[in-house]
Amino acid sequence: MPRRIRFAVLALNLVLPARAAAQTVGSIDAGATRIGYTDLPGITAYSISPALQLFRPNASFLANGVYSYFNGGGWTLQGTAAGSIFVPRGSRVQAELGGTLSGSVDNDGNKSAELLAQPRLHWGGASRGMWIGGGLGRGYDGTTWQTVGLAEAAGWARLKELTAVVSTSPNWVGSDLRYLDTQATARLVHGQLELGAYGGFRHWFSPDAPTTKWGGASVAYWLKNRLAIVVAGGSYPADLAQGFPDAKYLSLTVRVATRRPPTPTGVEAQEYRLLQPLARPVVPDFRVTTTKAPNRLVRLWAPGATSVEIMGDFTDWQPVPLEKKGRNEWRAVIPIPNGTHRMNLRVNQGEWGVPPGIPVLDDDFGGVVGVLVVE
Amino acid sequence: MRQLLLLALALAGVPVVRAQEPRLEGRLDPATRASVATLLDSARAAGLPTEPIVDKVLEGMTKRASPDRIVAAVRTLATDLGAARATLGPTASDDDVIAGASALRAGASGEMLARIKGVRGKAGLSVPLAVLSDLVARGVPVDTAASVIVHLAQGGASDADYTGLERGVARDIGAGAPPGAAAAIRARIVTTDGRGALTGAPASVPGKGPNASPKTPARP
Repeated sequence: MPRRIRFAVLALNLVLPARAAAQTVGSIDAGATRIGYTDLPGITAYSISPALQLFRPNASFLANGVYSYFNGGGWTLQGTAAGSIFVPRGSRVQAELGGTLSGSVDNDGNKSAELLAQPRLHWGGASRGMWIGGGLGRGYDGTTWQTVGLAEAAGWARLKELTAVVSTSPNWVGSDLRYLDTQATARLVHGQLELGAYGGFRHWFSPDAPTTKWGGASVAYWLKNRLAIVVAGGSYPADLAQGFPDAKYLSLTVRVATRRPPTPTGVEAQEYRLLQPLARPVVPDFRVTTTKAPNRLVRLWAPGATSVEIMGDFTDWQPVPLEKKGRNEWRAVIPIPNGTHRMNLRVNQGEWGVPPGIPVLDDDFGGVVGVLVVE
Repeated sequence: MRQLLLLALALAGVPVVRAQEPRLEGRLDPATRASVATLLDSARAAGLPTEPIVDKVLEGMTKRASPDRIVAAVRTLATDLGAARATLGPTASDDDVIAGASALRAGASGEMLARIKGVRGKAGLSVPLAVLSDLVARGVPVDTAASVIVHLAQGGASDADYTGLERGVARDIGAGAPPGAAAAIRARIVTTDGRGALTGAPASVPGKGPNASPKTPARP
């Protein structure tokens, strides 16, 4: 996936006011991309791309680099770093002070760069929100430095596994270029699958310039918590600040990560202390009810699962399989004494995780453990 | 060197027998088993509860953690248990010590534990300390959580009050309230409207909710 589009997808986590708990995710992508520029023959690029995402309760930082080698010879090296600080913590209205630094160099010595400061004002809750903001900086397209600026307004919403963002942004580059970018981005996380889609159009503030459109989609399938295959394709607009042309692309990438990136969970999680881990719930719904004490009926909803297991101090940490009932429901009756217990769930023999709605702790073994209270 | 010492003791007829934990038998390599056994022996000698330590080992084994990581986790846990015991005193129950270790791990200080102990007097500490850990895990800043626990203790709150507070805060957070604000507001409700409000029941319905019951502390 081209660097800018991939970074835009990564930046979903940055832009949404959902830094949630502290977490660091590192990844390396390796793959091939077929790129088609207008009026030019297509080329194939083989790329390796490390990325680092840091999330803290009131701050985020993303860094991404791409080294690409082209089948016709030549190479490019691109990099981007973006960071934001949010104040005050734990408020539904927050100010963000953010900045982005990016640049590139190729084997011919061509260079580009962009430095942008982006303050924003966020308002939102756990499932929806909006922000307004702007940006001001300088861009270098290989020949001249120009002032770049933008204003932006955006809204986002989260419905279960789906997160969507719609934004509109008037931009200016130098003294001549004026245009309005409007874009919608959606991300769906369903079990091992992550689907991303985006689409937008650029309207020029000049009567003769045609509106340009772009769009694309990506599918990431996590074979394990640290290994994914990513297929992406689509188009992206020209980056006028750095002088990159628009193009179409199709890419196949293998991603190795320290762990799966977090799913934003909403502003209510911002006060989590720094060492608080964030875990993606391994199932969307989870309930424990008393049948005949100390027996408890554990019920959960796990669409697409072929096996579900639970374990905790109440099983001496031996995995206990749940039985499938109906299409997506899984059940087990397990003796669990009254009190507070540590527990984990896993689906399809994957990583041990935590169901939704219960506190999450570091388990001291590089993973997480949930705290289940049974009364 | 240690093997030579053990051999010498054995040859001298000195019994060198560590207390065995049957649940760990056959599931650890010899070096890890020896390290864990030493930690368990030390914990017993110091009057610390050993169940959480065994539990931690079992968890690590099932999660296929490396032996080094298991030993490190167990050592940290033993340290927390020891610190909790030192703060809460030799008469504290095992449940209190386990809850204290959880609270320390969650970020509470020894001073916070001592303050809660001082206010609670002879009442058990396991439930308020477990609730303290739970609140912090739910995102309540540890200073706020400790203040809330102390505040309730000063008002003579029962264990059921604490569990009611925990449920109320969890519900408020689930509804979108910032964790710190949820805890502070729930604590304020306890001291002004009584237990009915604390357990989430309408203010016109006094008394505890149907599920209010004492709880055991979380194993750290």
